[in-house]
Amino acid sequence: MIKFIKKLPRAFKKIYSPKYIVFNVIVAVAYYLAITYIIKAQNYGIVLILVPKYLLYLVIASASIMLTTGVYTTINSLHKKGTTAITSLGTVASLFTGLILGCGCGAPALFAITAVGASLIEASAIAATLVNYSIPILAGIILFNLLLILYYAGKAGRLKSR
Amino acid sequence: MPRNKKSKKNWNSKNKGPLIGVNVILGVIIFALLAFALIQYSTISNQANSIRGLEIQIKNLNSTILALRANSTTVPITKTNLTLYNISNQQLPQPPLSLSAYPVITQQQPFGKRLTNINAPLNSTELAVINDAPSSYFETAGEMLLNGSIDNYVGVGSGLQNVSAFIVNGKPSVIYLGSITCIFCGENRWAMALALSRFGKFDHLFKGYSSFGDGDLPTLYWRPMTYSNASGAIDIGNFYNSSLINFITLEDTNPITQGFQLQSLGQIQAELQQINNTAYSDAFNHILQINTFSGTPYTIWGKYVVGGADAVDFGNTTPSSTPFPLTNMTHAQVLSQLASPSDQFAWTEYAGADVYIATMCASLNNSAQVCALPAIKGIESKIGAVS
Repeated sequence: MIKFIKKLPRAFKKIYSPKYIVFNVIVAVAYYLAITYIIKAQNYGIVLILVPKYLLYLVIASASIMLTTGVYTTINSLHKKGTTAITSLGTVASLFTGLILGCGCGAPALFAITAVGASLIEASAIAATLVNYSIPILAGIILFNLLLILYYAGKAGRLKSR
Repeated sequence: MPRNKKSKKNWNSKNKGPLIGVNVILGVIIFALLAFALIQYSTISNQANSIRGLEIQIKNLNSTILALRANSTTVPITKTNLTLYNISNQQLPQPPLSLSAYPVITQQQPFGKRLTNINAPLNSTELAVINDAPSSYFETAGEMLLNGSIDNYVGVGSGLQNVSAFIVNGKPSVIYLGSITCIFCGENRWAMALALSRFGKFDHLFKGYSSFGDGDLPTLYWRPMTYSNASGAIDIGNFYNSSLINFITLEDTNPITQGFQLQSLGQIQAELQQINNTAYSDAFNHILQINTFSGTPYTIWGKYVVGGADAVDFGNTTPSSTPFPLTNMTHAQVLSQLASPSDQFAWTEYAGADVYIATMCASLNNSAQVCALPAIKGIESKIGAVS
């Protein structure tokens, strides 16, 4: 474990060549725009955030680093399928943040699930859960991203950079 | 060792994928799909509401015929179980004037984290601002709305939905489902109160706020609220009197010092069953049957559903993020603006009220005095509310 932690800085140094730094920044901006768009779409064009703002920034930072390390590992890995799937899962989970944070007084996107068979009471229970547990859910997404980052960094440490 | 060799071989081979790999392409596709889905959602939702409105109108017509035939007051409608409610001899609950467990807070607190005067009743001068607002203000705001000189958003969002009016004691009802923690409920109650004052009077209104996490906006409460109930509750009732309409208020309460929270509709339904008031239980069932609730505030004005706030009014202009100008206003300042409107904030509240008035006038066959205002007639026509 200690050996693994000691290797991390070297792994990140290896990943973060200038082109990957630029890529990371672009991804972070894209995440921010996508999440704020989803929030605005549900709140009359207003960015109303249910949780402390730093949690939103943490999600964006962790998700963009995760995606960058994931892309690096995918490009350099032999087993592209597995890494692609897990990175995609992390990407979708992070974008889900927008749906949770946009779920304020109104949550039209969430209630749209009534169109696929959920009852209004079920939809409202999902919305209420997402609103009431937004902080733990976000913390979970951040933790998930961090674990993926560590996983990719560990893999990257064993790969040759491109 | 063989693996390293393989890796090296792979790396040195011609298999050099583009820098923007599969993940990035996937990410971009997901972004694009989400954005597209959201835009499509609002468009489809508008169309669906119109179609649903037509469907419901047809069903209402059928049910009216059935009701006349059966001489019954409550008629189930086809498979959707949409019911025509006509409840008689029903006493609407009278809430308490104060709650000892949720007292008025007199301490001065800073904007953004203040509960100063929460649950305090409006004095007679303050109440008169709402009850006795001159008709000319409604007319001016309505004209401004019609000629496009209201800067803030005012409208009916995804469109009006036509449903059967909820009749209690021979009068159509305004049904409100909101939350004290919700920012849009907070800013919209001012417009609602102004609109309702055209059809009746408030004997009491109370000072309140939206939650700290949702703007801490000064607002009106329909009754004293259980503003720090950790487990959530539904506070029903108000002090509104009218010979023309009923006002049925369901307010979800959660700790005001936190952020927006809302109990699920299942929880609210269970609590209402315990309260055991037919008008309120049935009003909630009416909302469930209409099946278009997607957040608070949710209001039904006679035979029209207005989902969401009908105005977004956080100040003279509405910024896209916090802090909102309204957060830094006191109740006295809001009331002063409403007493002599001179800026976009106040005119927006009156314009928002006009939209509600128009829907109610259409439900009352324009029998109320306010319905004679040219601007109200214009708005009725604009939003498609027909008598």
